[in-house]
Amino acid sequence: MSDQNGRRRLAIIASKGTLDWAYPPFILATAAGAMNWEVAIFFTFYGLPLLKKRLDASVSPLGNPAMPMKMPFGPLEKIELPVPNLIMSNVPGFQQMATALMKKTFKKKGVATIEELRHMAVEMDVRLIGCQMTMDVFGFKREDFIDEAEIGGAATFLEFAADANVSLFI
Amino acid sequence: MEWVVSRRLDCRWMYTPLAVVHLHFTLRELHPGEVVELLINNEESYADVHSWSRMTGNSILQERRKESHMSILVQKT
Repeated sequence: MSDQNGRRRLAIIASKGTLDWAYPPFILATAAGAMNWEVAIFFTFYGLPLLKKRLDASVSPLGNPAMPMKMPFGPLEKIELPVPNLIMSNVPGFQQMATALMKKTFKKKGVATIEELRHMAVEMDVRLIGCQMTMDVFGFKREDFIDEAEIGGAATFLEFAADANVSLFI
Repeated sequence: MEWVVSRRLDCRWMYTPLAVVHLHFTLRELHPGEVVELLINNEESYADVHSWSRMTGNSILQERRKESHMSILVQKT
């Protein structure tokens, strides 16, 4: 399957908005865009805030036991720090700290930020479709989102996905 | 064989998909036949560039492994 120009198609549903889960849709979309694929991402439910003008995605170690707890710098850099769930859930500011440490680790390792990847996706004409129903349910306004986002529903996305070579739910 | 390099693209210390994304943007500005020298220093980017080349048809002309990095010449088709 491909579009009228013979290009392959990638259709992604992005349903999660935490920092760690924000990466896969944008990484895959930009990689496909770099290969001249036609790409659309449908942002629904908790994925919708990834289209907000000001991104504030955070990461929660809670309920995420596979997440390595390491310092991005200093003498503890290579050491896994087992932190009990009890501490993660009860210490104020733990989530903000985990988010800051993850961002620092990504930066140090040369990983692009979500903002950078989203900008690249826009430059590649990736279709960023925000779910109208999610907008209405959670009380978002059109002006909350970047200008490049289009607003649509399930049928809007499915029309594109019907001819996709690869379809992913994230 | 020596090639005339139009652009040099330093993607060392960058992770997926940045090497191929920057290649894509750079090649958009070039004419068919022009050559980009890409510098990378991780195996992930190396594999990505080869997949990208197969998918897009842009040619890998030459690869040189150096001590700290790899130099790849890519020609826009």
